[in-house]
Amino acid sequence: MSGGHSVTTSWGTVSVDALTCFRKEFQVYFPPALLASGVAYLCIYLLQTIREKLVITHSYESAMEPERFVVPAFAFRAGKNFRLVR
Amino acid sequence: MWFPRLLFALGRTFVSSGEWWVVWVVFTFMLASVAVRMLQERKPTDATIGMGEAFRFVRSSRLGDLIRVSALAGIATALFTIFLVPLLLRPLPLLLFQLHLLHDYLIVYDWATAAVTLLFFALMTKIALAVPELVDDQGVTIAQAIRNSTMATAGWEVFFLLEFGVIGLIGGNLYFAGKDLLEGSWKHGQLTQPALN
Repeated sequence: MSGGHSVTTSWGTVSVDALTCFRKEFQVYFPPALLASGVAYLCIYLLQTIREKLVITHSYESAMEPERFVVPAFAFRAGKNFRLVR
Repeated sequence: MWFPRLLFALGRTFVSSGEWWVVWVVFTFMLASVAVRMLQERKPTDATIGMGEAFRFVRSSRLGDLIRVSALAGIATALFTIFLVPLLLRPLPLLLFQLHLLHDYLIVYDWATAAVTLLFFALMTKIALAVPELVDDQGVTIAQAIRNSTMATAGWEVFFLLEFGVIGLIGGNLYFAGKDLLEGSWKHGQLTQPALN
């Protein structure tokens, strides 16, 4: 050690210091983060429920009727004439 | 017939934007509170404040501006997920079809979505420093704070990209490992139920 420092550091002291520091910070930040996440989750759950009510097609059966799979003319022409890979 | 469908689609988009906005409001206020607390600790008075006190300070000082910044981020995220991602990934099926790789569509789609999302959030991080500046400097406007944040993070884009990539890979691996573990233990539990005896 240069500069007059006589403190010896080992992996053990560094680990203990790091764990103590982490524990201190964790105790400060974890409870508010948990509370905020809980409130946000409730809000998003409510909004998701509203969003799911706004589905005009209510079943996959009707969404998968064959007429919904018709390829539009322009997409068919593009797929037939335009090649991305030679 | 198309008009109610359009209204429903717009309604869903609007509600989806609201969901993103909630995420960003919570993130912005948490970030601002943490910044206030850390700035207070750096002062020579040596007094520490709790997160509750920091949040009360944030709420009373720059409530409107922080809500506006989070709304901006929410609108950007909603536009990205609703409009830009589908537009960017539109040529993917055609490309895979021509490469005779269409059977890998789902996995390629997932990875392509993850890559585009990573890029977007790495760029969004460039405006994150506007939040601490807004709560620290009462005179600065939102536009100035965003401009300063963009300038301060110039050259850090690749770092953000790699950092989020690594965090995402670790998080994703942990998630799938945990999911497989739970699924495996559930199946094992089903097979060794007392009902089988």
